Amino acid sequence: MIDRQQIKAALLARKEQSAACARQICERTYRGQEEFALLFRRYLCGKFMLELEDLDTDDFYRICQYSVEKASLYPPGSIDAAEFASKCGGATTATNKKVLFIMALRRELHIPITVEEAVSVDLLSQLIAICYQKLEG
Amino acid sequence: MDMDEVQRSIQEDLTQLADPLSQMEYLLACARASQGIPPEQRREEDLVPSCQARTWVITSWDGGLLRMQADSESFLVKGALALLCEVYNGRRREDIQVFTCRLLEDPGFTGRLTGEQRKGLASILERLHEEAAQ
Repeated sequence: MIDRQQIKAALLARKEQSAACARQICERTYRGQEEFALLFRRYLCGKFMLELEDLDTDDFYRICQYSVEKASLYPPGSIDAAEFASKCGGATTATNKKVLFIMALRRELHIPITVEEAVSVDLLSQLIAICYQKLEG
Repeated sequence: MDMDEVQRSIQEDLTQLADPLSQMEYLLACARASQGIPPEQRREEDLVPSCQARTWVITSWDGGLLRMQADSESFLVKGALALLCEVYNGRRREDIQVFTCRLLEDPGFTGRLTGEQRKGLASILERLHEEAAQ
């Protein structure tokens, strides 16, 4: 039997972590881009159930993939491979996560990131720079 | 908990998590916690025909109670199936016959699934209710 209460409690705790970061971003409590970048990374970690040390690549899609692999305990690359092979008619779970995260930026951080910008973002550092510029520019 | 209570409890979890990313993480975590079906036990005849992602459902009736195992190559579908198994597994035919599953109408449950995946899950539920009626 799945322990849904434990799953929910862990998710709500992480949700609170990302909400705290979102509040600090919205209230502009950070000093400079470096502090913003760290807050943004913590916000992302809360959303993706990751730790800061998990962000050891700048490839944003790879981070999305890794968060799915970590959630599923599957070996690297195996989930995308299975989903592509299954011709499931939709985006991979990692792509879904990327889209949902961009939507969360708009909804929770009030960052008006456009569809074109979202599509063109390959690197996490790029995404952080775009968001910082939109908030401070 | 009876079937309605389990269904309500799942819907409450999804409502409490509120945002689509957290709801997706919930399904992924349920998929991870699910026993699924070991690869060596997945047979061609247990594949769900209407599912694009390879999805297996094995059912049997033991003393009038449904025994259900399910798995899918789509991780989100696997999570959704794990929750459906919690609702249906070990239930009596008569309880299944009168039960109305509303999870597929819940955006928190199916919001990240494609139309084809939703149809696949609907066909699995139809099969369970047909088997219960036999």
